Amino acid sequence: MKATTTRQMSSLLRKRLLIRLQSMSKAEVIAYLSDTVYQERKRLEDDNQPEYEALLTSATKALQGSKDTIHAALLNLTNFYAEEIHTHFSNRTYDLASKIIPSALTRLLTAAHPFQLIGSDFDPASRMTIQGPIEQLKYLSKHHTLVYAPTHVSNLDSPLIGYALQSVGLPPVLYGAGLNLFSNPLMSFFLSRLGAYTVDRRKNNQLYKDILKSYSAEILGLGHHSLFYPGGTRSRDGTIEQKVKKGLLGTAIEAWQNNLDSGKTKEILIVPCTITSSLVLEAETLIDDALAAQGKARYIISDDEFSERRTLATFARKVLNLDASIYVRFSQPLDCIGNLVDDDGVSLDPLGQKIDRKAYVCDDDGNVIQDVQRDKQYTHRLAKELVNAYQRDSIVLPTHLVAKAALMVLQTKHPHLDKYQLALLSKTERTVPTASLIQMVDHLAKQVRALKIRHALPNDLESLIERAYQRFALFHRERAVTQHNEFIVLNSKLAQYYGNRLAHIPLTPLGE
Amino acid sequence: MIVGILGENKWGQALATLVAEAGHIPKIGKEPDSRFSIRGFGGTPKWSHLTKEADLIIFANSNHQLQADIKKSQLGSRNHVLVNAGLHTNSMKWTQELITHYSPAIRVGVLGGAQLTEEVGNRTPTSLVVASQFDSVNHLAQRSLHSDICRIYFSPDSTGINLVSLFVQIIHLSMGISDGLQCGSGTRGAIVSRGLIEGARLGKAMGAEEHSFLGIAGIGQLIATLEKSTFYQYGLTTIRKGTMPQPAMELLEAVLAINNVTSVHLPLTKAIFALGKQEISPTLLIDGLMRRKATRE
Repeated sequence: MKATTTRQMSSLLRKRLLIRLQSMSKAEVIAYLSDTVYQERKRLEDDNQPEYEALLTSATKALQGSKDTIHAALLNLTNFYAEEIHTHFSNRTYDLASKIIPSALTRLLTAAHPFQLIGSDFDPASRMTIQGPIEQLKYLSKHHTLVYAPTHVSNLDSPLIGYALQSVGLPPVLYGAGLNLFSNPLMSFFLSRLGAYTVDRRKNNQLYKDILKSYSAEILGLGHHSLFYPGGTRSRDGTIEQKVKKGLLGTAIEAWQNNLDSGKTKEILIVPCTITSSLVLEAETLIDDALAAQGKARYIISDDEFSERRTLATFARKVLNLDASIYVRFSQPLDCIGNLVDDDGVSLDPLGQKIDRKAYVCDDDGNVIQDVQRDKQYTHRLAKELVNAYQRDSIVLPTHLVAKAALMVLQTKHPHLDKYQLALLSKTERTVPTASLIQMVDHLAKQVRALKIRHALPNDLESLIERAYQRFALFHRERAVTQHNEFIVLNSKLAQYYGNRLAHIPLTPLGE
Repeated sequence: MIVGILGENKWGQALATLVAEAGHIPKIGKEPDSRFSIRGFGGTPKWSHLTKEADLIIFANSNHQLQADIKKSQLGSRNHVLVNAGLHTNSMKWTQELITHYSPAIRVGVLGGAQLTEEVGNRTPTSLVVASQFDSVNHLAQRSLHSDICRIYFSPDSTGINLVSLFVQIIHLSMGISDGLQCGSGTRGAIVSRGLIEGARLGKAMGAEEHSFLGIAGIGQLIATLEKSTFYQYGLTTIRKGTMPQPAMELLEAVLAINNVTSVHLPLTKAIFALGKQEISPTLLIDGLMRRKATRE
């Protein structure tokens, strides 16, 4: 992967911005800049960034000037944002980092000092099951640019995917990481060396969003493999993404058309990916946030379990040390329109016939026809296919099934309560007979097998339930399901969180 | 502009007339053994040639044979396609979904409104609606068919246009039943208004625009085609013979199946279906609908 300097990237982004500005009237340009200044000044009321504030002050003054002055102010802001966003990835750094990944990941997950020797017996390779068309991806990654699009439940997803790619011999990726992730010094150390570019989700102005999209399109155009979380943020309630955000995803089709226009032979292909784990580090905070009315206001959680080193260490020691506790599954790659591609990267129609994907965007002479509305629809189609892939390729684990079953038993006991009311029940009200749970788990497991859904459930019912109990006992302050001889007590919030992982599967409770 | 019309039935001929009237070249996709000749319009039995040549492809045959027609046409990723609005009941897919499912074509739209073939032939003014999520399909279809004798409206709401085409048939069926029972014009009025509201309610739950039910493909088609409607005749037959024809049963079953996901209250559709299954007598059907709790409109 050829490194791009900040200056080069900044120049590319400014060129893109200038093209956009040329099609705007002075009134539109003023609105564009004033929106940026207003939003950022408002945001900075509680923040102290003198350099940035000076830039905004000068941008405010520019609003009174000519169109060129306003352009110059926008370009200055672009420079500033480019510097903040751009990754300092280089092959040399990555090669070095790759050699230390297993130990770095171990250190990260055991919260040891970066320079401390490894004392843990933690071995990521034995804890993670990596599935999917690896050989096809290896071949495609040599000839084309891949965009990995995983599901997202935890801040640990990025290092885990990074590790999964490295361990099966796939090249590194560039990916956007929220500024809040850098609050953990170890994570920051790790992220900055593995191709993370910075995304400040507090910056809500249109200029920043446009620059971020342009940045994504540029790095794809330069041939860097990338990783986006199409869900945008971690799933709050534990469900697999049912809808995905199309902003960054749309940059893939933009970059592909730019490649076609400039005669580049590299295609841009999308690889859906599901990460499934028995337990999720941040589950308690996330489900609280999902149920809380202020969920939206707390959109960016900076004080979850991930920011506490000790908690992270406990999670790693207790949960990730289990066999096969994490599954990373790469799905069949797609083109930017959402069609599957074959081993050579050729697009296939729904019946498996090869098709000429260029014809979706080019005229008879092979010239790209610009059509923003069409591209939005194509991206919409791609998004739909990603969601289908997530649902098809996620894996049912014992913790998910037992949580779902326990919740169904509780709902049978309190048929008129909604999810919020269930979350408020007292311990006695959350107690249900163990026999009912066993029956329900058996009933659901049979449905999962009958529907031929991917799973990692032990054949034996007793082992299945035992494994879930064992996992639940490992980490959270209060277990999702606790067994007391003939009764079990649910933590209805956590049971909802883990049970929601199966929300896309049409499972019916016993007796229906 | 060349417009390929796949199907040489009367609707195909009417579409060819509209294309010519709009100043473009219609080319008809014929059957291989066809001896049929439409004076003034070129045609070819090689549908795959037509799909390569035409700027817009329109499927004119009935939706029942759509799957076979898609296969024959060999659509490509470059094609812009138009198909009659509706549901393919065998596969439970909307017609445009059937095209994207069985071909690489993605830029697809549906054509809604009354298919008044004779009136088009007589150059009597009419109107149709095109619905696609792709602006390019809407604009191309409007350019191809809009003329002094036919106004073409366009909409992004293909779900609404598809769904309303089903509800128009259900309302026609209900009116046939009502007329068969000689219930009078008051009942007709109630069926039209409640049927459309029922459809709009389901449409809204599926993300469709309520406005589509009041447009060309909704109230427009309902009024324009009543006496000529096959489903109106099915309604009369149901009362006359005591059994509901199979296509009408399939339609009702399909709409109720669509509603399985949304669970919207569909009293008229459910009652007519119960009648078709002979779970309820026609007299009890009317009585049951009339005895429902009084509500605000």
